[in-house]
Amino acid sequence: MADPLTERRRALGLCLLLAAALLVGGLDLPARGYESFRYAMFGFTSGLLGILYTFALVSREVLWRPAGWIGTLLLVYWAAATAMLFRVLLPPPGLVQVGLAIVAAVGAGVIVSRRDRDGAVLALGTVTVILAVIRFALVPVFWARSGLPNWGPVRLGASADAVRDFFVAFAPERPASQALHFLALALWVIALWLQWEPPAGDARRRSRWPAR
Amino acid sequence: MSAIEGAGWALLGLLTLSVGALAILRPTDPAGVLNEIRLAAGFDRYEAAMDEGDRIHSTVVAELRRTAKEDLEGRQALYAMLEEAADRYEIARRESEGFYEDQRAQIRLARTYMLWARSLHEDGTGAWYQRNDEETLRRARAVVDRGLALPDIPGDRRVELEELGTRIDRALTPWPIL
Repeated sequence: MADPLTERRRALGLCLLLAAALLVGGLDLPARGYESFRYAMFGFTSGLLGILYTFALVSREVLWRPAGWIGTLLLVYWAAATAMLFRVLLPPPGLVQVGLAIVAAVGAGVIVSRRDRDGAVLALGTVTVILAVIRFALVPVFWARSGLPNWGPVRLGASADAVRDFFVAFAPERPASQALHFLALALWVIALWLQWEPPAGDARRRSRWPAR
Repeated sequence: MSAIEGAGWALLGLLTLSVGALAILRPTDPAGVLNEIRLAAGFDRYEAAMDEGDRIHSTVVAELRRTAKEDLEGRQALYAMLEEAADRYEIARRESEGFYEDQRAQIRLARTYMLWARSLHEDGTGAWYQRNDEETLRRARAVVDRGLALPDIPGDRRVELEELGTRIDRALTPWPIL
């Protein structure tokens, strides 16, 4: 039987890391406009993906879940922080986001199909990298090179904006924004890493979790 | 529960509250956050309201330079910010102690109304072959009237407002020559 005090303190530490990830991940630093910063909570799509991935990771026992109210609280923070992770990784609304949200949902299915925890985390990492490359490398380049000039009364620029907004309604951000978002991801990963080994005496500890 | 654990739970509550406050209040500037805290806490409310009004006003001045006349949505957002600035100056007027502080707030308020009415006048008047937008011009006239209703603004500012009001009235008249 695990010591409840140790479990509670451990869960508190994880909740603190996840709350910090939630706080930092929501901060955007717009490159245009009057806003010095902006806090954007995750939306419906990211929220659903957060719940889906939390369920998948708990079902594969990647996430440690203590018994009682503390376990429920920890689960809520995991779901919220994971939803924020997807807010950071998914591109702004548009057709590209639709495609990537489907890829991410399929990724949750892959995680559930893994037999070991390492495989599940690797599948999660693969989904994360795919989303990050498209969000931070492909979308800004597409957006920067798809504009057209206005030729007098022929307003090609406005038409080009409307077309590319259909694909992705991108809003450029200052470079420090990426550092903040990376910090949020790092906090999430640290939380995952710190709870990788379940506490000694945990009832949910299984033989298939080899000690490292 | 040890003291460190208690501090940890308090920190968790604070972080969670911060997330909620940021998501609901949607601040856009650290100085704005500080001023709003000073206003809410009742600490030097007059200066806090003046600082916040000045911050919003100067932001709008900078943004109006780079917002195209055709960008109606963007300009409406800026006018909403001017309304906010005017609200802050009104708070400053209520918190003022004595004539000098009240007049200082009124001068800033008149400056905000002047900027607002001038921008609305620009929006409402097009090229000579286009019909003026009378609704926008009436809004501009109402803003000018709000400025002229301030009792203690300096004479030059009052004259500027009156001249702008006259220009708006001319733009509203279908046949100024008559």
